[in-house]
Formats: sequence, structure tokens, C-alpha cells
Amino acid sequence: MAKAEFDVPELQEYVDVPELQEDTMAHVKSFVVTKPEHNTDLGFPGELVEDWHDKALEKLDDLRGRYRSLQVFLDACVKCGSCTDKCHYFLGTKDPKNMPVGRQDLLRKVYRRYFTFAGKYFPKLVGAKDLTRETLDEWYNYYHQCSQCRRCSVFCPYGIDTAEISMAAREILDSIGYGQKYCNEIIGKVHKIGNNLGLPGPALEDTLEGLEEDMEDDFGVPVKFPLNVKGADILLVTPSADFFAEPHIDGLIGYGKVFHEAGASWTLSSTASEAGNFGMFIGSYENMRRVSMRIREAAQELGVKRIIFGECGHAWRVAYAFLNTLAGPFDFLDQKYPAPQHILEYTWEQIQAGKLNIDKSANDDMTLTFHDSCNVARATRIGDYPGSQFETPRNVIKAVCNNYVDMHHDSIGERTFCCGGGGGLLTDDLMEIRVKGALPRMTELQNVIKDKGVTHMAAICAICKSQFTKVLPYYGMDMDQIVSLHQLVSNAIVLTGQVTDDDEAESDAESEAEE
Amino acid sequence: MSFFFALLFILASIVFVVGLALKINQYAKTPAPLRIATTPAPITKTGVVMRLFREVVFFESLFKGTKWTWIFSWIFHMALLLVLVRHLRYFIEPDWVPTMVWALIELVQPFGKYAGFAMVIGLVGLFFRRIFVDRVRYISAPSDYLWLLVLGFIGISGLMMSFVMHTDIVAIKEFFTFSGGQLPVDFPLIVHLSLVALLMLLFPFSKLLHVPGVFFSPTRNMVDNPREQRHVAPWAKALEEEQK
Amino acid sequence: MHRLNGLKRIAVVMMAGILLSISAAAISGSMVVEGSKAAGMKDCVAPTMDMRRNHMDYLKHQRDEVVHQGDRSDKFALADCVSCHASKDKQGHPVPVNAKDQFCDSCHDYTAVNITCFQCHRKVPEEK
Repeated sequence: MAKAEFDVPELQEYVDVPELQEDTMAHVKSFVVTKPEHNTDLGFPGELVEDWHDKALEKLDDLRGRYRSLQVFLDACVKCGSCTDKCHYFLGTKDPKNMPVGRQDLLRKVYRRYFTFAGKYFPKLVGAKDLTRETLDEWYNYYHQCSQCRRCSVFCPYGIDTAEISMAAREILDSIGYGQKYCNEIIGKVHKIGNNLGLPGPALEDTLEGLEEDMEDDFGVPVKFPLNVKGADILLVTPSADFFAEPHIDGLIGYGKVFHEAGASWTLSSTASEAGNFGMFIGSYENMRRVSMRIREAAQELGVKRIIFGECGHAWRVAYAFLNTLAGPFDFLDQKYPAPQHILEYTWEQIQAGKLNIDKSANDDMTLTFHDSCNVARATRIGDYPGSQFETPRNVIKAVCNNYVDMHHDSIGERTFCCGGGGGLLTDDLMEIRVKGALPRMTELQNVIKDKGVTHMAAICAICKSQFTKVLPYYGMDMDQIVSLHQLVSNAIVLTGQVTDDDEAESDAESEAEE
Repeated sequence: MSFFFALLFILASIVFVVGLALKINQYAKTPAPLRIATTPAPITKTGVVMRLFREVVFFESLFKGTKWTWIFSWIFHMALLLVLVRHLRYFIEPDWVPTMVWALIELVQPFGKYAGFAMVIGLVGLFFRRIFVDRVRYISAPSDYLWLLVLGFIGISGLMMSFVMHTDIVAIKEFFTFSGGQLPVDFPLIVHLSLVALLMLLFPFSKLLHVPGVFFSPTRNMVDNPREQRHVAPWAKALEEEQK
Repeated sequence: MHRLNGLKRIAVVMMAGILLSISAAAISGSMVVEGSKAAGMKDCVAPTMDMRRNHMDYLKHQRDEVVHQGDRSDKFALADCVSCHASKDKQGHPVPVNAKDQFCDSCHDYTAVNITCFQCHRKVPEEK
């Protein structure tokens, strides 16, 4: 059990809808930008501007003219309450401002006060409030307790998506110089260096070379991890966490093995060495576009025919749903393939074509379940039909593992619960909300562990993986119970010409020991 | 009194129609720069029409969300629809429409009459939910209760006229079809008409905007085809040009 | 008036027109048909205001009294309505009260209310 300065909720069989307890999370405030360049690099004022009141309202007015979603969502809510018990952060914290509509209302009450007839003349009647410094701080605190997972939007009769509201709120905050350190610093790194971690080209090259050596040592097969290869067919864009974090890197090895066995000509790029796009988290079209353009430029420079994205949730949303808009048209790529593609689309194609030699028993030491990542589940497809985002990952897992069970149906598919760390919250200063927000997912995971003998949970999102690694121990589970989906693929692939070495069994024995 | 109500309803109708038209125009003109359908989403336009149909007619998402609210609000809305169709008889003269249509309006009368009870029951259910569920109470502003009361009293005063204290409906119809009728001075009628006029006046400035809103919600009305088709909003296009 | 712009002027004219057409009491005020006995009478069995609103209840009430108690003393009787309100055609034959534009039909059709009385009851006065 990890040490905590807050009470970690106890896991029960169900997550009961809690009674309201006001302001339990009012004290949780993500670090604010203190170095002005973290804001100015993104085109925002370095620190809170003096006329923030008027500027904030101006920005709100500007945004509601640019985003139909914002304008309609601010108007249409009837306070039916359907969303109130759907947010993992509310379920874990009891704070009514973490109910989706409670969160929206922080902005809505100001919108009503300044931009609607009813709010201007009868503010008390419609719950309209003045924009004050307190409101501003509340915006900051609570809009950084939303992982933009869109679960609320599934249950709203008007499809109101709190993610859209929280993106708008964050953009307003950024526009007056009240930015969040975590997101803005990271976006700055992408602009300057090319990835979220600030991993420079040479370091990346080193890492990949090391990986190649390991592969050669382990399997006696030269599985390559090419970087900046001009004329390659495929550009792989993957979250930078895949280059060094656990269990992410095991996924990267999986991609490498799949490409190797498929005989693909592929490459990574040192300038587009990041799939993630935190520009979405802060709702900034401009920054999201700037981050996306690197990928287009790298693809053109390297002359590739296809772009494939690695396992990452929000990155896949930006890639699947926005990239064509932000950095398209991709008419210079091979039009036979969708642009861009998900690595799982590629792997599933190879499995179906029989290109991969699979030994499912290599994963027999595990019983798997799958965590649908929110952005993948509720904003994208992985395949050519609606719902393929749920089936393709499961198809691949079932093709490489013998033991697979699903978690409770209310916690997977379009109803999946967020890991608790998405949307720009994956920072240590938000540990309390991350742990508490993971409660619903942890509950359902524990249930399948107890009832179905599940040992590991696979994910296809860099943030999910990092979050679970941190949070599982708080709930009495092991950090290595979270695995990359392509780690399972990697385990099961028997490489052509692979040295069958009994020594290999040793490494697997460790994880088996627990059963 | 007829003069006062004539003025009131002319004003209310103008505010209602113009206000709603302006709002719809605003929704239609505001761009949606990014594809944000909540998936799994239809990949064709026909699919989107079907999705909106299920949403508007069956309240699909609300059904997923909470069964109690769904039951009460669905009963209320469907009953309201029947009641509204029944009320067409006050605004359309038989020889204005084909015989078939008039026959349908005749057919719906008994259903619409009793739907009034269903409507009020739905509203009472929603009212109690708003009072007794702490989460819903927390998010409710005074106006949220008032709307339920306004609609409730419209329903009750209407039922009064059907079941307790009749009024002269021929005269009412002559009034509303500009045939020169004088409104009968009956208390339930005055309550009924005043509240309806109030509702029409406030409609474009209130949460009743969920009616046009549901059709303009990008998470529901967008086709899930971002990889196949490029969508760029005018302001985003301008940004692109600027940064070239 | 010269200060009003075109749109406002049109609005004012339209409003005036609408109000005029409403206040002009163009309505006949009565649905009683010519050539019926009722046309020559001053009042119905109860004031017109009352009959317009409540005739359906009175008739139902009378039906119950007749059927349950055999009491025919009530002044509201469908047969009387018919005999008084039916008109005659050119040949002097009585016209059914629920025929098009006749006494019952004129309002009932106007307000989309079906009458079921005459599925059983006479729609022309009884010959004496």
C-alpha cells in the first residue's frame, strides 16, 4: 500500500452513488504555471492579466461563436440529473461540483449572467452568478478535475459533453494567463523538442539501438527499430512514454515484432516522436494544430505512404477524429489505407492474413481483461464499422491469449470508466483526485479478479498505463498487473528463425509465481 | 378582456417565433470545427437521422442514464404531444385541410383528452425527483421548479375545463381563428391562457431551448467519417491560410 | 409616423388589421338554423351560455335518470332538442340535426367532436 495524505476509498462490491458532500475537492489545485515561458511558448500571456475579468468574458463570447458545441451545450441543459452519477470523479469524491452538470454550471452560471436575457435581469431565478476571483479559482480547480472522458455525454439526452465545456474553460483560463503547469510545460516541450518527455533525437536513437541489441540477444533475430528512414512505407507515431516507461515499452517491442514479421518497411521520426497531443486537453485549436503539423511534415519529409499510431487514447482521438481536419489533406499518402491508422488495425490485419506465427500458450500465465480507454471508446473507431473500437482490441487479445474475460458490462464499451488520469491530470500534484477517480475502475477490476481469476488488465493508452501503474498499489494491487496490449502480442509472436532457448522461460516464471 | 388576450397572444407569438428563429439561426450559423460525435456513431447521414429519431422519440440516451427520469419525462413529453395535437382543433378549420387530416384530428381527441392526466402525472414525478434526489436538488435553480409548476398548472387548468367546468370552446376557436369570437370569461381558461402565453414569451430565453438544441448537438448529429472526409470550419480555414 | 422605418410601419398596419378583425363582431352569435322551431323562440330550456358549455353533461345526466330511475321529468331531453332544432328542406321534410351544417353538426364538426347520440337515437323529430 502506497502512502497517502488522503483517505483512499475502500473497495466494495459496487460503487454506491454517494450522498453529496460539498467542497470535498475544493482544496485540490493543480500547480499553476509559475515560469511565464510555459505560457508564452504557447501564445498565452505569461501571468494572470490585470483585466482578466473582461478578457475572460471576451474569450467566452469568442468561443461560443466559434464552437457550436459550446453554445448549444450552455443553452440546452434542462438539469434532468441523468449525468449526475456518471462521473468517476464524483463517485470517488462525493463533491457535487464533480458531477458533470455541477462542473458545467460553474461556467454556465457566468454565461447566463452576462450573455442571456434571463441571467441579466433575473439572475437569482436562473442561478446566474457574477464572474469573481473566487469563480475564476473554482474554474481552475474543478476544470482540472475533469479527464474529458465523455462518459457523461453518453447519458445526456442532448449529448452535452462536459469535455467540450472543460476544454473551453481551460482555453479561457490560458487566454488570461492562468495556465496549468503540467499541460502547458509539456506542450512547450513538444513545440521545442518534439515530444512530451523532452527526449532529444540522440537520446531516442540510443534507446532504440539498445532495444535492437536486446532483441538480438534475446531471440537471435535482428528486429529493427528504424529512426528517420527516408522512403520507408510506414511512419509509426507513438507516445513517447513507449520509449522508456513500463509497461509501455513492452508494447513498442510488440509493434516492432509485428512489423518485422509482416516484412514491413517502417520508421519512427525524431521530430514526430510523440503521438500525444495535449493541445486537445487545453482546448486550444491553434496548439493542437501546431502539434499535429509536425506529423504531417515528418511524413512528407520521409516520403512515407502510411501513418500508423501506437497505443494511446487521446492521441488516437486527435489522430482519428481531428488530424485530417488539423493537418490534412493527406492526399500524398497511399489512398488504399485510411489516414491515419491505428496499430491494432494493422496488427489485426496481419493476424487475419496469417502473417504472424502465434503461440497463444505464451500468455497462459495470465488471465486477461481489457480496459477500454475513454477517448478510444467514445470518440473513435479502430476498424471500418461503428463499435470496432471495442471489438478489434478484443479480437487481437483473443487471438494471442487463451484466457480472457470482460469486466462488468456497465464499465466497458461506451460506458467504460476513465482510469482517473486522463485529460491532463496525470501529474503528481493531482494524486488525490487521480486515486479517488480510479475507484469505479478499480472496483470492477477487483470483481473480476475475485470472481473470474483475472490476473492482468490490458490497456491501449499511455496515460491509462502510467495511471494504473501508480494507482493500483493504492488499492492493494500490483503495479505490474497493467500490461500493454501489444505486450501480449509480443509474448505470443514466435519470430521467424527465433532461437528457442529454455532460459527464456525464467523471465516468465516470475509473474507466474503469484498464481 | 378579449382585446387584452389578443394583444398578449400576438406579442407572445411574435416573441416565440422570432426568438426561436434567431436562436436556431445562431445554432445553424455557429461552426463546429471538429468532428466530435460520441461514438459508436453512425457512419452515414441516414444513420444520423435514425440516431436523432431514436433520441427525439424514445429519449435513447436518457433511457441509458436513469430509468425513473426517463419514465416520467417520456410520459410527460408524449402526453404533451398528444395534447398539442388535440389542440389543433382550436386553430384549424375543417375546410382548411383535407378530410383525412381532419378525421385524424377527430380521432386523436379522446386520446388527447386523457393524455392530460398522463402529462400531469409525469410532471409530478419529475417535480418529486427534483425535490427528493439530493443530486438533482443541488443542480436545480428556482426556474427549474417554476417551469414544472407552470406546465403543471397549464395541464391542471386544461383538465378542469374538460372534466369539471366546461367553457365555450366554439367561442374560443372563433377567437383564435380571427373569426371575431369573444373569449368566454371562465377562470380556468384565463389561468390556462395566461400561463401558455407566459411559456411562449419565455421559451426562447430559457432551458426550453433544449427543443431546438437536441437537433444541433454535434455529439449526436455528426457523421462519424473524419478519416474519409475532411471538415474545416471557415475560421479554421482562415487560420490555416494565415500560417501558411 | 414619418420616423418609423418601413418594417415598423408594416408591423403597425398588420397589428391594426388583426385587432380590427378580432373586435369586429362578425360572428352570427347563434348556431340555430333557419326554419327550425327554435329559430322562432327566445331562449332554450336554459340560457344559451349554459347550454353551449354544458349540454353534453345535461343530456348524460338525463339519460342516467331515465334509464336508472325511469324518471322522465327532467327538462333536458334529446328528443326535445331534436324536435326543436331540426330544420325542414324545400319539400318540407325534416333534415337530420347531425347532417352537414345543421344544428348539431355545425359546432361539433367545427371543434372536431364526434357525436355518438344518433347511432341509436332519432335525428329527426318524431311524426305526431
